[in-house]
Amino acid sequence: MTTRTSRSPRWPWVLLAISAAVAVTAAMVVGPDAVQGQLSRILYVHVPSAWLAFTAFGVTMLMSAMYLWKRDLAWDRRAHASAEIGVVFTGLAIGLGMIWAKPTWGVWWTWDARLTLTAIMFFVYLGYLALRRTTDDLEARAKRAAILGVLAVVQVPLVHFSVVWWRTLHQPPTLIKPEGIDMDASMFVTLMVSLAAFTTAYVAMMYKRVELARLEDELLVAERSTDGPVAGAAVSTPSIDGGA
Amino acid sequence: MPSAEQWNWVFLAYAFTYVVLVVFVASIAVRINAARQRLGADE
Amino acid sequence: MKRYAKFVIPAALLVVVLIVLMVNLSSALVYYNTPSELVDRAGSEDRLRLGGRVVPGTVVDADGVVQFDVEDCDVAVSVAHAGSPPQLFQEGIGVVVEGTWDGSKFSSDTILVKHDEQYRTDSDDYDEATHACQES
Repeated sequence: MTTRTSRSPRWPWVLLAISAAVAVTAAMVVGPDAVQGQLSRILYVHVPSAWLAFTAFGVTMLMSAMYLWKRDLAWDRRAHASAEIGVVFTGLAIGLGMIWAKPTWGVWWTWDARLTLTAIMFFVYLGYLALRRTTDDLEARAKRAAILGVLAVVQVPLVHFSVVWWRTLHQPPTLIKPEGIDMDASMFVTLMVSLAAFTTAYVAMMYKRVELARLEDELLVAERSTDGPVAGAAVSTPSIDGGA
Repeated sequence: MPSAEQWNWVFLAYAFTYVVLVVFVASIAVRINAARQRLGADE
Repeated sequence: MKRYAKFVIPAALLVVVLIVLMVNLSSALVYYNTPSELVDRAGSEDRLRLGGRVVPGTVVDADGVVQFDVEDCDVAVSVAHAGSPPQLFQEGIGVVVEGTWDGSKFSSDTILVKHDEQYRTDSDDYDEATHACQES
């Protein structure tokens, strides 16, 4: 059996290198906030990390729904890949939030609604990744994961609007709110450039992580065929639906 | 807080971002290589 | 039909659990109380969190104790904080202090700065009107 899985493309990484260079430059030269000073520069990594976590979990929900509809494992692999990247971005947003909170609020962590719900979201998606390890049966694994992948997304609006619905230490949203954007134009442009760079990073990682998911599925199928009672007698190579 | 001290927090945040993302991408690459090798060995 | 039921039942259960959680926990999810809510509880021994805006012109820093008034839209409470506040602490900024009532004063041992959602490179551009006092 030869590996059918093709290698993921290189162009997203080239695009990422360029957009990251532009974003970091913009974030370093834009004017500091009058109250927070230079600390406001942490905004340009903390906020995009949180948004990409939300986006990643939203994609996991869509891909999970597509799997439940089409029953094609290609959708399951995309859901899995996006969830793992989402966990990394959630962890990044929490870590950056702590680095920002210590010099501004005065503490690394406190149990307000926003921070608590974000921590819960992090652990629920870790649970999603753990759930995927409970069986080697590709279809059963995909189905269990897809159901959780669809349900768990309710946490995204819960985390985002927690600062509006409950009284928290974390300030309310600056951008996604009815009153409009509460930020200087130069800062807003910088944030959008940084968001573009983070989105490019997400796309590049998705290609790579989906490639890995395909290889891991192939490996499971290959191991099942050699371990099974028909070892060596297999007439055809077991295939995975929708390899692309 | 003096500006220099604020910049230290900023550098810490950007370094943290860089390290987390690079380590994650490296972990994907390592797992891909391991999977390709095992698939090759199965042939 | 069975496949449909398998999906809808856990979804419905999750929604019910979430609604129950939100209704019951909404009071626990309140991180701090406003001066208006806490003046009625003066004299209570409970450990409380008081949040509001530091009234400009009231900050006095002496002998390791910082004194200032914290206000919402209606009332101001005198706070005595033992220790040094975070470096972003200043007149007009939001704070959350933790401590107990000491007569008609609030005695705090923990102070957190609660900055708002405005980002401006020039301090003159801050919208003081909408953030002078906090509703809700």
